[in-house]
Amino acid sequence: MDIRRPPAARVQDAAFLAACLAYVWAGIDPRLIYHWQRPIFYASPGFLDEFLRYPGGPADYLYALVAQAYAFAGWGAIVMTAQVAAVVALTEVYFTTLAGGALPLVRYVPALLLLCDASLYYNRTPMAPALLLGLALAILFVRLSGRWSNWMALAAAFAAMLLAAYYLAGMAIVFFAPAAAMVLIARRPTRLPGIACLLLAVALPAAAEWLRLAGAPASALDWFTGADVPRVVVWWGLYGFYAMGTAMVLRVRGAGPRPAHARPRPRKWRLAAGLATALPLLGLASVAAVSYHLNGRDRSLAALDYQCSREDWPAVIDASRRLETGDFNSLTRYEVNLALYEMNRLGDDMFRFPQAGSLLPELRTDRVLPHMLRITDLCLRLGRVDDAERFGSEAMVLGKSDPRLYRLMAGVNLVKGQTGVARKFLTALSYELGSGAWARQRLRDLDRDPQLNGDADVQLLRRRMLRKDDVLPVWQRVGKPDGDMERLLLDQLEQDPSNRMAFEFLMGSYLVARDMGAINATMPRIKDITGPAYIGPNGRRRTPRHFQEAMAMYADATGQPVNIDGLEIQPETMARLAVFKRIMAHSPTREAAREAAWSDFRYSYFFYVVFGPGDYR
Amino acid sequence: MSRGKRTLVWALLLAAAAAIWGFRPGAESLQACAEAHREAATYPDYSGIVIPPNVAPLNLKVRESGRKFCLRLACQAGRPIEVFSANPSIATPLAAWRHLLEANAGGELRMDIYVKGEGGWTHFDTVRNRIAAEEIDPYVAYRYLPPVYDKWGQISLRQRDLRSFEERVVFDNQRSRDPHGGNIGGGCINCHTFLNHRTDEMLLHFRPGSGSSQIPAMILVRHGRAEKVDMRVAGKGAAAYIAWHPGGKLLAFSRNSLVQMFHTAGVEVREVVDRDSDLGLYAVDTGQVYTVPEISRPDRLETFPTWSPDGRYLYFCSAPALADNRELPLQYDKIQYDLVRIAYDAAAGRWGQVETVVAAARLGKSISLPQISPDGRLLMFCGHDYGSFPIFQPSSDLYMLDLSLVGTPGETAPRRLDEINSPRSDSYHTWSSNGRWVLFSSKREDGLFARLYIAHLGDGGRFGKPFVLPQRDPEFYGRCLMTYNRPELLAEPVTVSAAELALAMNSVTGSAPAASDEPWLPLR
Repeated sequence: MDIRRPPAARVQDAAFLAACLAYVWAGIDPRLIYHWQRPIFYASPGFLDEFLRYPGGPADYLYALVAQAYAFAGWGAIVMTAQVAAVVALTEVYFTTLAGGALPLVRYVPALLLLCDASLYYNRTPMAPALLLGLALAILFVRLSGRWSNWMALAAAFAAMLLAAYYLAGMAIVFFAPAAAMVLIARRPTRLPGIACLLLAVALPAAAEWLRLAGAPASALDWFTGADVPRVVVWWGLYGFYAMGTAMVLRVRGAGPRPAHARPRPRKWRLAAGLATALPLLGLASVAAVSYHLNGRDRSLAALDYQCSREDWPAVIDASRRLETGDFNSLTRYEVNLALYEMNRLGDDMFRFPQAGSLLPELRTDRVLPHMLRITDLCLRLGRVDDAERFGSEAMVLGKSDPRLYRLMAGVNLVKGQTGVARKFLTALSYELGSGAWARQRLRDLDRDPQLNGDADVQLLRRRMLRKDDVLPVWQRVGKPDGDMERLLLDQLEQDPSNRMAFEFLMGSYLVARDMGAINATMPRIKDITGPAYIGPNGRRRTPRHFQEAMAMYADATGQPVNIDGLEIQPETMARLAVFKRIMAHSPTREAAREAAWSDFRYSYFFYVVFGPGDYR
Repeated sequence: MSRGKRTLVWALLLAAAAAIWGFRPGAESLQACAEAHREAATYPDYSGIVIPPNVAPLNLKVRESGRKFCLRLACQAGRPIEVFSANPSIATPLAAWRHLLEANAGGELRMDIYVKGEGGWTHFDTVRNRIAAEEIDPYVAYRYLPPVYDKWGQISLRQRDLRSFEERVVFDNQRSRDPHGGNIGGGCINCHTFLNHRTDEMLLHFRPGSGSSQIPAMILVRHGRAEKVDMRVAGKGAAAYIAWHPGGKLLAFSRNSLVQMFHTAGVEVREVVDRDSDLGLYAVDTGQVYTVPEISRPDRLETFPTWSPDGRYLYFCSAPALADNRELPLQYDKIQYDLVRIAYDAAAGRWGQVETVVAAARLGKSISLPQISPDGRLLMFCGHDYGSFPIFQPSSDLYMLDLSLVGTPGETAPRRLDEINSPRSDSYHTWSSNGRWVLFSSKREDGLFARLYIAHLGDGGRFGKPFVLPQRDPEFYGRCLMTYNRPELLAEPVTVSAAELALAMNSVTGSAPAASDEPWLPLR
């Protein structure tokens, strides 16, 4: 069939796809999909075999490959828009094949639903490949049904296509089978063949699962039900669109194709039809907008974790500004504090962000991969390399071949000097599309310098690495079963007194706990700490602001001057404390004092000590 | 499609086929080549080894730079095999390899590697390997898992045909399903044990996943049927290490109270300590669970039972128990296990007295995993600095003891098998049924991922150089992040289905110990 598109339709398509591209690129941000879903694709021998073993595996494989483009905002947007364009095109071809004539704007409905699906971020189902395959087979079947009169041959074709759809893309049968069945019902004198086809489509996955003919990782029931309501709604929307669309077209336009010489519709009729379809389309666009809005929280959290993984610290801080107070959980709080630490701002700016608990996430084995990744990374940064190896290994059970884990584990083993193990992780990683180049470069580095003695980062971590073995994990000590972070950080400072991360997170923990005695006792360690945060504009040594504020309060409370090597309390800090105290003294109520101090002091440690944890942004 | 287009498509297809054919690495003359005067570097290292006549091809990767590669395999009889490759990974055709080895059992296998660089072909020194006259058992069953810490979410029991590269998953703790579609919730499967290298009767230890309502139990397979046997009696734990009496009527097993700890510094992060253990017995036909005082002393930790092939002795490892076993984790590196044995009269059901075979103090090592050769003459065990978990100790080496000298006057010191040991953990050995091969797991390559190695026992009682289990893709081990654990050589394939095993694991109670049995008390 020769489908010629009128110029107006081309303009509509171009405008729609341009809008899609912009929305995907700037709104959804494919990098967050990549980060959240971590589509794993290795070019190593045997990787494909895993996908060929179960129905739907080939589509999963294809999706894993295609989704590699999502690692980049631009490429990801192009690839996703290309899928949307393919769906729009095939939808039009399908309905045109079914009854002739061009489709109005409703051809964009599935595309909009696909975008809603993409904005869910976590959904790894290869919907687009399944939909495209289902549509392609439906088109083929519609054409065959118009040409073949032998119903046995048609039934055989249906069975073959059904099997192909089920094996290649699993849920493709949900798009193919109802369409084929309806066409058979409409075009045959008896409804029996159509109903039989539908029953066969239902029986195929049921039999495959019941008889365990193929080890599908998920049940076909998941295509229709699930606890994830937004996903189920979007999917039912797609199923409903094609099923109802097919039924309506067959009913309104009849079973056969429209004659080529059919008279064109009057202009008025076309206008009315256009308006009638534009309205639902606008409604769906609103749904897409609402879905974008509803997924805002997921997007913000994913963005924070993503930027933290990329070590783009200013972007982490930027992403954190979009978080609600309640989203500052132990993990996000740590990520923000880590960004501040890496930007040499922890001691100066940590109270610009909600601090309502431990600075470090709990070091325990969890079933949440992002948590496991983060604590593995945390242990490595701190120099607790054996702990990093342990948590990373536990995470491998969860994350299987997640390249981020392999990268971390390669780092852990490089620091430990276990280069044989590191090489294995790097070699495995070298087959991964996203990290392959990095891994190969690292392998070349190892060939040149087998122990990486010239690598400054590795040397820093080796200096921080614990040498004293403690076979009972320190956080399992009596009385502190949940995690003795204090002991853990002190151990790191014993190993390497210049471990700035251990020092700042320990001090940060004391600041948050408002433990003035511990702050005073720990402060002498500041003399071993170096870095940009400890150098003033004139090149002289300086003390981060919150540390000064804490010591100023301590000195004020005890009435004793603070004389610690390496610590300087600037006169401005003392002056600000005096102002703050005056406000406190002269305000009639606590609420009034809070209001009076808000503009000048809400990011200070003074304010935190008096008014406690809160979101003062 | 128009005729012109069709012609174009056919022309393109023909051109592509011709290009592929043209680039195919073809046989070339190797007559005029330079000599390297050294052996080629290969991975894995298959030089100077003794191989079984029924082993799979030794596919290897040549670690020399070049554009083309050739491996020439030649023996006294039969036509040599020449494999040309544009890739340094060289795979030998299975049929030709089998033919060559079968015709030359007991003979020599010469491997010549040629590499073509800018200046033409270079020949590396001939590698001479020996083909043993004795075959190795055709199958090996092993656990395949990532380096495990707390979680065991990805464990499978696999079986490899040593004559080819065929591998079959016998059971997978994530994917295997019972006939009703139920999985085992990620439970741990371990310690598979077979009767006399046969698979008709086998055992599998099963520990349910956290939150599961299942019980830890032994899965006993007899004649293709699996049943769950609950061996927990009198507050004692489930069976862990199990050994079949060669008669197949009695099982000796250990119950261990293992705790895992983690090091904060050092090479190996993991530590496993046995706080309390005893040996027990299970009468297969009657389902009775019992013990005798000699093998379940409260002042001793008894573990790793193994029977002598004639069934007259039960060998096991034994260490003094601390008065307060809560102290044990703090003294984990002070515990050393002796190798002991106790006589057993199967006909009368009588037990003798425990006698020390090798004292840990004398050896200076803790002893674990004793395994006796099928002829009953040699006992191989692991010796390591402390404790009972050799897989986590780089100090673990394999030792061998000539049992014919035990009880005779004079020195019966075991020999450390330096010819097969490595600086890293060598453990979990299994004898072939003809006693001429040992297959063991070793972390020699990197210290973390265990691989299976095969070694031949020569007439003089010395082993040949061990070689790693060949893989179809010689680079497989270089990127494989799983570990091979507890290999068992088998004369036949495992036939019980994964569904049957899962069904037994998911049966709630299984076969409990016989009601008439006094729990955990001696029958005598």
